[in-house]
Amino acid sequence: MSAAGANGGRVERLFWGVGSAVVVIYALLPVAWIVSLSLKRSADLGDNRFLPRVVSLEHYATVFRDPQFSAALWNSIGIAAISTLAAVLLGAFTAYAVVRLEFPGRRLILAGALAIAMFPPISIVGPLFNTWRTLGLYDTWAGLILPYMTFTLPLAIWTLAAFFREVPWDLDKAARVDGATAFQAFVHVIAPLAAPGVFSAAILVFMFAWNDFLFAASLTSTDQARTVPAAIAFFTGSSRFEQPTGSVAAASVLVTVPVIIVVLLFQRRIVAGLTAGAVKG
Amino acid sequence: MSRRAAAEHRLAWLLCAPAVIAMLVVTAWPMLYAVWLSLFRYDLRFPDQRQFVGLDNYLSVLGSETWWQALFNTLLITVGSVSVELVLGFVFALVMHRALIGRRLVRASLLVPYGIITVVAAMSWRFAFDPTTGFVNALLGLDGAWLAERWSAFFVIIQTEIWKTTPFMALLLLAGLTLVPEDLLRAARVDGANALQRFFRITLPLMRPVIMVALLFRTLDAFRIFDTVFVQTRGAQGTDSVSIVGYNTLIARLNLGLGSAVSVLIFVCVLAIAALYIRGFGIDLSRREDA
Amino acid sequence: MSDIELRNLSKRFDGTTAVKHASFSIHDGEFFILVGPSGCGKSTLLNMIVGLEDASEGEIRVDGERVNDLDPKDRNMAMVFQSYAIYPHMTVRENMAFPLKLARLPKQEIDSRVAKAAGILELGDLLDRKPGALSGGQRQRVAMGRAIVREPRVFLLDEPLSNLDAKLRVQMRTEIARLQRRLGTTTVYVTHDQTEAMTLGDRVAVLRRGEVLQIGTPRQLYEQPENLFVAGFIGSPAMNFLPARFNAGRLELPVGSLELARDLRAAVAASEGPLVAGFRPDHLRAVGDRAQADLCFAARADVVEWLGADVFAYFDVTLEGFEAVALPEDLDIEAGRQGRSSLVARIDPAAGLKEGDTLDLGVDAAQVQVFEAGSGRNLSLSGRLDQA
Repeated sequence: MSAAGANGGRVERLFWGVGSAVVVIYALLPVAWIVSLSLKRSADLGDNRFLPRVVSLEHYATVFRDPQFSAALWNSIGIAAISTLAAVLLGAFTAYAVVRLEFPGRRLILAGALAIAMFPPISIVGPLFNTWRTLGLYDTWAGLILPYMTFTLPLAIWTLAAFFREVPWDLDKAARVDGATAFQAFVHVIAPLAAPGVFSAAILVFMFAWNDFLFAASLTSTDQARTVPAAIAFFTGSSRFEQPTGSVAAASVLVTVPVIIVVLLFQRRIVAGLTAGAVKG
Repeated sequence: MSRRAAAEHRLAWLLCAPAVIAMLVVTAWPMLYAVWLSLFRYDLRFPDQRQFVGLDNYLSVLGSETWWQALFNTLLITVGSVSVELVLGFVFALVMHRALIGRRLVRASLLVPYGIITVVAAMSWRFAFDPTTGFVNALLGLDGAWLAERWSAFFVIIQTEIWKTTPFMALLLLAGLTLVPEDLLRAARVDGANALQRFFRITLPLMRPVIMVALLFRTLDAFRIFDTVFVQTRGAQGTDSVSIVGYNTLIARLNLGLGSAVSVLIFVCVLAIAALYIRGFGIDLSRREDA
Repeated sequence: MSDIELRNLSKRFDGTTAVKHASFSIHDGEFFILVGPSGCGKSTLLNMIVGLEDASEGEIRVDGERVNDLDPKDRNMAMVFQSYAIYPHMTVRENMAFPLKLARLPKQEIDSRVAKAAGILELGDLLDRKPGALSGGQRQRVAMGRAIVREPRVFLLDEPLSNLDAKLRVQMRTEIARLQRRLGTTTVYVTHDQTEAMTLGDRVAVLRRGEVLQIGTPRQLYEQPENLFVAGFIGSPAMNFLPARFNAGRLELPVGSLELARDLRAAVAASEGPLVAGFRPDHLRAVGDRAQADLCFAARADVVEWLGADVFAYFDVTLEGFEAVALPEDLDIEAGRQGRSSLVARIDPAAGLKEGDTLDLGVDAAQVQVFEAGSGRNLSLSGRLDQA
């Protein structure tokens, strides 16, 4: 492709090909490792090998028998889903106003959201801990949903605003001329076009809530609201003296695999969402 | 102002109100509350002894070796991980940008570290470096207890951070790369610039805004590090981060007064970092708001 | 099919007036053009007719019925947008069926109308494609198709050809003209391109800064422009303009003088301020000897543009003793600088004119229009009108 001719092209292609392979291996190594660890027999956990000698599902059996794990899974799914719904809904209202309406304070809202995106969560953990105990929100779903929703609102607002700017709003006019009411124009034309952006924002918000450990560790204490990251971090196993390595690995795999599937299915939407606010916006 | 404009303002504020109120109630108000709490001796284990102590908590935090060591550790982790991420992120972005085959595969596999729960990633690397369960020692022919010694523990922590967040950097930089017009690079080539010159003279300057924004966000994010340190060392071997110190004081020791002082100081550090980026490196965030 | 009547229609945005007191009628079945430079208010006028913007003042009547307060969906008009405004998430078929579905037509009827429109516009093979997979010209057709399936009272087209390349633009222009004639639907067409306006329109309204300057057939606009702006805006290449003075019954120009007709003399004598003389490139011709035209002069050809059937030659003339004409800025015509001006003439290609050749040129008094520079009023026209 360059002055070096076909030979240079081949070398170049080889170079980028090897580069790609290295990147893929580096990215997948720890996942492969924890899967392999989770499949080892308890006796083989200390064998220092990368791959299991014998594949065994005993740790998965242990995890499924443990009520802690299923409770945490249910809490994580419920809390993350509700936070996502709330953040995307409120974020969409705000992003719509910021993009489509002219009003004083537009810039202030975007700047304020940006400031909150930079906010260190640890700084408000103490007050929330104290307040939640007084209000009875400590160790409840709502106690986690509120901070998750708030901390993801900036992300939702910026991402949605970036996507809403791309929506061809003129089509709304076209639909009105074609005989649609304002509501029909929204349902048939604007909503389908804005949906991918909303979906992208929703995935990002969900991943934040699903990933968080600090709030979960600080504002929950029991199976009532403890989420997966906290459950895994605090997992003690059946006896005090035995390291629950195998069970932790199995639980990790169980919560990672579905997320990886979602990520791979919607990779375009996720990349679009990640970069929308930062690059296009 | 016309009636129509007034109606538009009203609608706009109505739409923004829920989000704005939520953000004020759950972040701005607790922050002010933290400032208030930090002025008291207030230990939840001895709630009766609550009393106003002025700036005593701050003096006590700033006079403690723990705080300064944690600040040093946090800055070390931040600088170490963000600088490597930038370089590595650029390499990954270029690989994705230039690779003709397997581009989708590379992008898909980079999303795996991004999608994985940080606690899980930290666990996986902890087990990998563990002398009894891990494969790293066997692979490298070493015999060290990585997480039991301070500097090697930092290595494990920083490398976990890099693994987890480089994809974010790479994807942002890739988006920035695609914004550089191909014609400019062709023109530079015609003008006699080689690949390196094209990268440093054309690509890099054009990507500056994207790079600065990515760096700002990643720096602030790295400064908040908590999950990885908690899972891998719990702050043992002198590997505390400031967030760990804050958590231990507030939640583990229930000392709200002292812990709030730590919280406020962390907030001040974050403000300083943001100000440094915005003033020092001239990141123009307002430009983004206009677009 | 319908006629449209605008009565004293105005549109104000905070502080600025986009359309000022527009009052005119568009007849049933007519192909009516709104033309003018950008910012003249033509699109605003169109948006008011279709109902996308409210009128600040005045009335819009369709078939005698006031439609000001009707929602766009209830006006039964179809519009083609400059950006085509094709719904990217629907196939071509769904795009065309969309207005019919909203109107709750039976499925059979929808299918047959879409098929018919697709046939007319040769979209048959593309019906199941998404807009993303279409070329610019094909998208244009889809937008047209969506407009015609509704069999609306009125078609509104907002710069429909401006996103096409030059060749396709000419082709689609003829197609739109043919389609309109075939359907006979009242059509209002907005453009900034005077060639489109002249070739398509039954009648043309020239707008500038929110005001309707003149409404007429293309021929009327070309031959009897009511003012300097219309004269300069219509026609390509643009009309030649030279500064002029009136002296003892004669019109003096930098290139010589000519006798004015008696009725025009009176109008010119009664005018105020400096004068501008204008004549079309077609009327500036090469002459064998100086008796062949009322005003003759020799000039050197600067640039010769050979277009096959036509040759346009640009001649450089000095403005000795005259101030250069101040033409309206939005005409984008170079009126002369540093005491010189340029004149265009359409020359017979057979003459074999080359750049640098000097030629005797002539123009007849009857072809020269005299404008009042300050107001832009065409004095020749008022002279002729007085005569009539």
